[in-house]
Amino acid sequence: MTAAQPPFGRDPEPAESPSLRRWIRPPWAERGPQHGDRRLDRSSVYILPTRAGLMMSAVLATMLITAVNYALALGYALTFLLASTWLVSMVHTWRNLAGLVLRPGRAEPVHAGDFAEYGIVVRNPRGPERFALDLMVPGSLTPARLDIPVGPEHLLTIAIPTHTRGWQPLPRMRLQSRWPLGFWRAWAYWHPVASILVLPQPEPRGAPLPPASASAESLQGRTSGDEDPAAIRPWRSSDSPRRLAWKAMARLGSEGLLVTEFEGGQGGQLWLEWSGLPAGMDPEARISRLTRWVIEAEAAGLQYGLRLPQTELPPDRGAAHRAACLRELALART
Amino acid sequence: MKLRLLNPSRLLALTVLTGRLGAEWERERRDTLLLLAVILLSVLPSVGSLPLWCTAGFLMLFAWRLGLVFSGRALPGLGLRLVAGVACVAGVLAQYDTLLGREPGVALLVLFLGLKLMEIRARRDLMVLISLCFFLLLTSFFGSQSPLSAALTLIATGGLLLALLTLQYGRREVPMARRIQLIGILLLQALPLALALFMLFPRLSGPLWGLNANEPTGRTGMSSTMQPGQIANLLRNDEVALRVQFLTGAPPMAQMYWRGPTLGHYDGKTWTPVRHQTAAPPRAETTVDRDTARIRYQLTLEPHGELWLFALEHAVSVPEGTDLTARPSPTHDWLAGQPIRQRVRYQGVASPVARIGLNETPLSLQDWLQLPPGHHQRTLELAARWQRETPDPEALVERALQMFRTGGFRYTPTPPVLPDRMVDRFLFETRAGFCEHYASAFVVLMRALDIPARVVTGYLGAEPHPSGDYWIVRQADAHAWAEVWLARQGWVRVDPTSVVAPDRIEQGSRPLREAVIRSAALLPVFSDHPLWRQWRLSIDAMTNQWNQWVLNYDRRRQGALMSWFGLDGADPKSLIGALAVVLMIGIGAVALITLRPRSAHDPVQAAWDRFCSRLAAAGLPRQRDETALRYLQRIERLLAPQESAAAAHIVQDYCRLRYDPQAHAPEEVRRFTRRIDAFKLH
Repeated sequence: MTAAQPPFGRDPEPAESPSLRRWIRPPWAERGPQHGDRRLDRSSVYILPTRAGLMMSAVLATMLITAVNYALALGYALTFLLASTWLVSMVHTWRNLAGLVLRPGRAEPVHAGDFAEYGIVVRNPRGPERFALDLMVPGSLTPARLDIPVGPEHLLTIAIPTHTRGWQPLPRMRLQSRWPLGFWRAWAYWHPVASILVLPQPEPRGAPLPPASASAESLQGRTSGDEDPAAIRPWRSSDSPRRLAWKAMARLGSEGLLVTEFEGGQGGQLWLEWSGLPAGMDPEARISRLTRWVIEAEAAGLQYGLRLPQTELPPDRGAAHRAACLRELALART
Repeated sequence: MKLRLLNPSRLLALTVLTGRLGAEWERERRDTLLLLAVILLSVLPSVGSLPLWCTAGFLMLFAWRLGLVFSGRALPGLGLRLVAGVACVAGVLAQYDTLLGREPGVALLVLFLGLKLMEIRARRDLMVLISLCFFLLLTSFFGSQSPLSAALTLIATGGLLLALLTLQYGRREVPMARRIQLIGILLLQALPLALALFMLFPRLSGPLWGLNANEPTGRTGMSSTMQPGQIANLLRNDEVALRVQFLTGAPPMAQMYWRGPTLGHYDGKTWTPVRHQTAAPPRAETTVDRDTARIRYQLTLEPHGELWLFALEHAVSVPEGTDLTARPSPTHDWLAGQPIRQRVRYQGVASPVARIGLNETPLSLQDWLQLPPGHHQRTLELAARWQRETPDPEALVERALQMFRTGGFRYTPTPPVLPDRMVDRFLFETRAGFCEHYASAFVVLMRALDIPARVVTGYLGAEPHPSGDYWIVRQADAHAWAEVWLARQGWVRVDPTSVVAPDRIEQGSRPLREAVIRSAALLPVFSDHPLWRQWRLSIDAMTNQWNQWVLNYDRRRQGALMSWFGLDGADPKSLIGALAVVLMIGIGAVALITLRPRSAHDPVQAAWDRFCSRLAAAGLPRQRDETALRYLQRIERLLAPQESAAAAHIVQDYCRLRYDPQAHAPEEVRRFTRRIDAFKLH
């Protein structure tokens, strides 16, 4: 569920003049999310020596001093060969990143606290094969390790940790690589304009589902449910004869008895209501409970409706209804 | 499109591979084995210059680590490592009495490398290990800088880089051949810059800090003393002592006396340099007629760690070389300002007929009459008898030589060993000896006759290289001869060996050497085979080139190269300037290659573009928003039946190659390309 809405507002009024500010900031400073494909070119791939690279340069300096002091011709040769390799590996590290094109994809909504599996598309149009790229997502402990062969489009899935319900903008991610020798670290930032819908976390346990209202009007309303084959199941001896689905039996030519599926044998409509919750309850706790109820009601095969202060979803069931309810809960303003 | 999941939870999975031993080898274990192998490879060049126990200690630690890899057991604890570390330091202290200096340093480095193997815990430890190995490779050049050790070092360097590369791949399996290929590419790309640095980096003329003059060099060769058997031992030593290029014609081989240290003090067994009794021995003086022919030569002296310079007898001017200050000693030897620790090259001028030491005084000549008392009773008696017959020194010299010539004396590199009264027993009993026996006995006899005499050591002869460019003098050519002082003639060379074994003088040491080598059964058949000789000589030619162009690339050569480009080679500033220019060019070239926009590398896309442009040329361009199938639908009707069938095939293939994850085989891509190339519009 990609949403094209800027998650962060523009920066507040800059304290200094914009040019000065731009001058002071390092080139890799946060610039806000960017639309469209991200092509890693020479202006956006940064490179610095790693700790191992700095250590190697210290070793090379020691080697050079030794070669000078003892006038070791081959010592010079070895030192210079290694130093040149050290430098050449910088170009290789840089090239391991440069030329890639990243495009944001989409993610299924997840409950807060879970990892969202976010799909991205990586293109490597010019080659060569890229090795050992780390995509670092803030908050995620282990980076995703990517190897990207030459090719038009590679769909990759990265795990992004989620925290609070609502639209969670994609964080600024860092793609980096130390390949081939580990002396240099090249990195580039990617901050796409895209968001993940984070659903509220269901409360772990609490009050059971409220009883459904079994009014005649609501029973009338279930005819629409009768036409849904998913809501029909074979008769069991404990089923009330009132729930026999005559129309469905006639339509399907079924030999056995069929009944409409309803929980508790009451065949009622269930309203999950914000206002039905205890008065002193915290809004987030309410959302948490309603979330759990939506999930439980759907699992029980009930028809349920959701009534929130701003919105109301009429009773229904099925994956789409459940998703709509959860979406409303995720985006509910409290 | 390829779909792959990269979940953090899946990163724990280990790739396994069936190893040669039939067991399952985890990736980490194989990487450790690779690392161990390259570490062994980088210790290898240093083994020759290490004490035996040190090598054994390292190998023990190495085997221990290898055992841990195979058994999968844990690394030893801190206590054990500390004890081992203390033992290593104690061992080095016991061997060298110090921890400072070159050789103790290398020994410590190797042992600590072995210890460090026991604590590979993090990536940082691996970096430390590999850095230590790089440094160790450098120190191996203290021992030898031959082409062979250069090749070994290059291989080890590649191995270490390979280990670094392997670490970077993480869990990804990349075939060894591809990894090696990449390292080769890296090294090749680094080569131009490395060459530029090598040629242009300013060279210093001296060390940055003082080198310990007593540091053992571990080289065999001439020494500043002489005792029986010493020179004969060198006969088997094939190493090159010096190389000579004659700028004027080469003198006959029998006149190629390369003068080294002069010895005058004898204790009955060992000859050592004279301890001058006179306060100030006369300056070395060489007298030569203006018109006599001079021999000019250029000499490349292998480092021997001592002060003396070898010069063709008799030098008539100071040997000249860059970074070399030669001074004459009172005994007409040439001494360098500091021990020869690197190959030096100098030019010398010699005249075989020059006379030396005409300015000796009776007092200064007393130094050359010393004899240890009580060692030479029979020699003294013989001398007394001769002196009664004739007091003329020249006649006495001739008489002594006559004795060697006709007295049944034998020239052999393996004479009977004489524990005491050496000269007496040699002259009157064994009558078999090598050049040092003859020189020694002759000088003792002369001194017994009151003729000032001394032993001169050096080399005799040389082997011409078939290329005709230069001559090689080997350690096996080491020789000792005598000098006697005669009034009005000064010091006169007398080589008693020449009367006993004229072949040695005229043919050089080779026949003798080969006989020795044969008798020692070192090289039973091939030693005198022409092919073997040719091989050895071509190896030497290579070594000579190597020395000239790689090892001797010093200030002088650098300056010559710079002046060839019209720069002032002696000025480090111009070198640094040149280096900067080369670096700029290099960076520019890299920038040009890496930043140049490139066309699509994808063969499918390239072929598809060709197909579309062909259709566009025929008036059927693809719209920007048109998918391949839509495009086909639009143009199908407009093409000839045959063409439209071909186009349908192409579009079908294109869609499959683009959207079917299974369709990526190279032959499929090739078929697609072929189909497009065959597509023609009429």
